Amino acid sequence: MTIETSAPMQRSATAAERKAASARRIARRYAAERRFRAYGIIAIGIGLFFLAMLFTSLISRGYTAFAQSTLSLDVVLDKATINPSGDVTNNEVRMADYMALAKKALYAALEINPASKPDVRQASALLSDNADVEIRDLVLANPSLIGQTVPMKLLASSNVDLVMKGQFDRTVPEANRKLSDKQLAWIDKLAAKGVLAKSFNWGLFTFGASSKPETAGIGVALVGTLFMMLTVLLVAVPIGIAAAIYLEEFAPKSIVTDIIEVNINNLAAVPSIVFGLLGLAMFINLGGLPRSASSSAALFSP
Amino acid sequence: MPVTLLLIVLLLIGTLGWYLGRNRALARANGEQRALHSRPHYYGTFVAIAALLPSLGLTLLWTAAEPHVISSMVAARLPDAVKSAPPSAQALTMSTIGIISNGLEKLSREEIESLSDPATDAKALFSSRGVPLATKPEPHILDAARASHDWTIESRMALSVTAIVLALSGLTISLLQVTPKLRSRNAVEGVARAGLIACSAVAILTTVGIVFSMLFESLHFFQSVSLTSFLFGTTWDPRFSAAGASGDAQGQFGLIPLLWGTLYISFVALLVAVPVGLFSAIYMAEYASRPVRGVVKPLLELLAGIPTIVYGFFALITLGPFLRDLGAAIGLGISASSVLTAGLVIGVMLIPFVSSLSDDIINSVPQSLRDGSYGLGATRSETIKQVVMPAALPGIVGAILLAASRAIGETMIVVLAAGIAPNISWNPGEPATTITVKIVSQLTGDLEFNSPQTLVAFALGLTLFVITLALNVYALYVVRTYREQYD
Repeated sequence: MTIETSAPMQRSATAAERKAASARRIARRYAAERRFRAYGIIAIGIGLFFLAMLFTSLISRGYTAFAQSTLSLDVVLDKATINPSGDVTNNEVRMADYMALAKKALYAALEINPASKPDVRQASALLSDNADVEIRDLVLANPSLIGQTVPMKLLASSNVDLVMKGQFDRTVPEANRKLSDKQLAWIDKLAAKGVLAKSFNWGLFTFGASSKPETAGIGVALVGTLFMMLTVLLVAVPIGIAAAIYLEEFAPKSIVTDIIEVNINNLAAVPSIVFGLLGLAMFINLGGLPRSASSSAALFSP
Repeated sequence: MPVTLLLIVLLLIGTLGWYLGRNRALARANGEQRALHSRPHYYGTFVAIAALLPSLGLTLLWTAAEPHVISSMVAARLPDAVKSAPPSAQALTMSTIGIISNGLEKLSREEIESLSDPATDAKALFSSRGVPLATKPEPHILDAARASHDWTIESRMALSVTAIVLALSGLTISLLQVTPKLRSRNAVEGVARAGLIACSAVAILTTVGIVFSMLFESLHFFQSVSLTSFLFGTTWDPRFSAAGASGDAQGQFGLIPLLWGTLYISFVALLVAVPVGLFSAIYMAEYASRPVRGVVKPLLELLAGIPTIVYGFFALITLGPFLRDLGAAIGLGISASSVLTAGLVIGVMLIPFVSSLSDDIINSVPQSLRDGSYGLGATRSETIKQVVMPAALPGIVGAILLAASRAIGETMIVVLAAGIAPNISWNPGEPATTITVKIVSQLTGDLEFNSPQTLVAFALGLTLFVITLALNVYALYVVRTYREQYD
């Protein structure tokens, strides 16, 4: 008390100092608060940035697979080529040279002379090797079409597809390119006429694996995945729900149920490759998969 | 009788039992439901269970055991010349017998009879029915195949008769027990409960299965490689299994380089996932408004729903080349597949894992603790750092440990992005390899399950299982201890 009354000047100075010090402290604490908040926003930003990067990278690289170049050609289903005998049940309908029909239609669209060998060779490279399959399937489904001219969409080769999607480098010298100047000119002409156009690639979901890009798809893998999902659901859902009902509604609180619960939690975190090894060990020991390569070769060779 | 037909017949018997049991209970109570101990349909279910459970169980066991029993009976019949043949030749004979035995079903009775005549061209006969054979079957093989075929038919016959008799007797006996006083509901509930217990036990069985299968296959492995050279060896050089199994040609199976790669990559992953995940969780739990939280939380959790193979592809195609070019630009040698690439991508994958778990844990800290802190004049960040975090720490540690066990067990990302060279190096720009990568690469291609080169995969799997098990159990222990504090 005495000190305060005897030195009012000093007291007020310290009070002002204290006030300033506390203001500084508060400012510091609020700055820390803002920093802390910013860390949170930055962290969320990083997470969302990676999410965006992942999706843009996947989509920008993958979206072109959903489109596919096709040639809209008027295919003459020539009776002399498909079915000379006149009997549509004859095997010759199945074996006919549909590729020749596809090529003929393409030559007509390009207005080139079918007798000119170099032109013909270069032009036929624009068609997919599987272009004949579509014509064959159409004819086998509707034999009455034989002899008529049918507008069809035939698959273009993968190189043509690359040009159409702008992924073909035209600046490369002609000798090193997969398509010649002439072929590129044809492609541009066909594209300008609307004969060659991109359409949605349904084949991506129906075709199986193929060494030709234009006829490759995920169809088989998709079916496998769906069957796998179905099997997993059929096994996991009933057993999982039954176990959950027992543990939550029936089980007495005991060490055994505790162990089961810890076990289930643990199983969820066991790496999937360990489950794969479990499956493999089951195959070896219970499924009769032979241990050595020589005996497995013997088993599969007949 | 084929098994499917048998199953249908058994189900019909079960349905019949249900109606009989229900009606009998009602009849014995003179149609008065009040006089019954349980509601009528429990009596029906009681009878149906008594009819179905033993017979279905028998069918299951029988069909599981049948092929093994028959093939050993067939093997016993074969002449001594075949029995003394090497195992591979025996397997070939047995598979031929199996093919012919199945093919016999497509022949008529006369054609089967004609097979015993040596003049018959058995090969042509079989191939005309879509059963291609490599050579003309020898008489003893044809004989064994016929025996196998006959035994299969007899066994199916015996199974059908036994199962149906069992079902009918179960039905009769249980039907005789049906009285209004029978506690049928308790019996049915007991059976249902046993079924539920069996389902819960599946988890235990799986764990036991993993441990034992890994252990047995690893024991095979440790017959040729010593435990110490596996656990403490610093060279991973398994060679090819064709190199033989003796002396130096055997290869070296040192775990240390793989363990190093695994732990290093996991460390990098946690370095990314823990700060980002934790701060996201704190922001979302303490600061974010409801609409922001409603958008950001599902967006971040989207990261957890992406299959790991897609992450691996992203690392291989986009991030790896990007980091390589970045490293070249600033004068650091970073390989396209490196510890950094793999660790970064696994870290991104784990962000939602850490953030969701931490978010839940932070939210479960009682509001009263925060209110007390605010009342003392603390700012939000001070409250979080000094009150909420210490309270939530055990749970967060548990979440981080679970994330670590994910990172250690991650397979597809490291297969694509980490490289395959076993490498002990501090440089994160160099490729490294992990336990999971080596399991995959040792099990790809031609497999021979009696060489250490393949069996080492099981020893690696066991190591992985033990590491993750320890982490998981410790994490669960920490999380559980925490959970009890505020419940």
